Amino acid sequence: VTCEELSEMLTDFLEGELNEQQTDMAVAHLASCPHCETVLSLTRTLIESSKELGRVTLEPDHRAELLTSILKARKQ
Amino acid sequence: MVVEMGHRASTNDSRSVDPPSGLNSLIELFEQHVNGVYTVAHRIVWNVADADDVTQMTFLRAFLHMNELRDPSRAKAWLYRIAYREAIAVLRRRREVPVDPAELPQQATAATPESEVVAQELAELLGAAIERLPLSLRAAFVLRDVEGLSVSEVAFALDIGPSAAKMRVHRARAQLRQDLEDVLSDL
Repeated sequence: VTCEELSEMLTDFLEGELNEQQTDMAVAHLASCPHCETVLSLTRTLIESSKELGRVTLEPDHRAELLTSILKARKQ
Repeated sequence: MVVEMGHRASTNDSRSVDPPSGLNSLIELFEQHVNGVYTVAHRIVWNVADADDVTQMTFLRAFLHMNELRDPSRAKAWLYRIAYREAIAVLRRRREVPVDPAELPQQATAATPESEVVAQELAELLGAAIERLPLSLRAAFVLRDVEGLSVSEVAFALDIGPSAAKMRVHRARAQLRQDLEDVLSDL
């Protein structure tokens, strides 16, 4: 597996959608390639950070206003 | 999940939604999914007023078309599909207006003051980087990696094939990783 091929496989690797042979090849490449290992690590950090921090938080008052508006519009 | 809707979805009743149970279902949907719907809306339209409109229209349309939700376990992806369409409609309608930073909602933050500052900064950098993504990649990324939909659910929400959805997620992650490399390396 080359670095370019590993890059193309990365999403399937993270999604657990590679077959056993492909997974073994990816793991072997990652073990011997610091660059691709770093790319994988950064991608995992990005995904974890996005789950934690990517969401836009609604304040309680704002949330209540939205529900009120929806219920009011529903009657119209 | 949203079990009450199963009965309605399984009937062929062509009348409008029964008021008491329909209202309960609407409120239940709202309570469970409003934060996610609002996030999808805001990440696409990037404007509080429009995000409010998209969120309201999403739940109103969901209420009106609840009988189309045949599988209650897909309520989340179904709502996000509606939200995405509403957000796209807003983008097509509106003229571009400058975003007032004061109008941007607060990001989720961590517990302690010090970590709160770091998390706030990271959230802002992440939000700005997501905003720089092309719309198609932005929507796929938010649905998959912020809201946690499966690739097949992302495909359903965006009305594209699973391969295209996966490719968009792949490209979005690559662009964000490059954009945020220095920040991510420090985490």
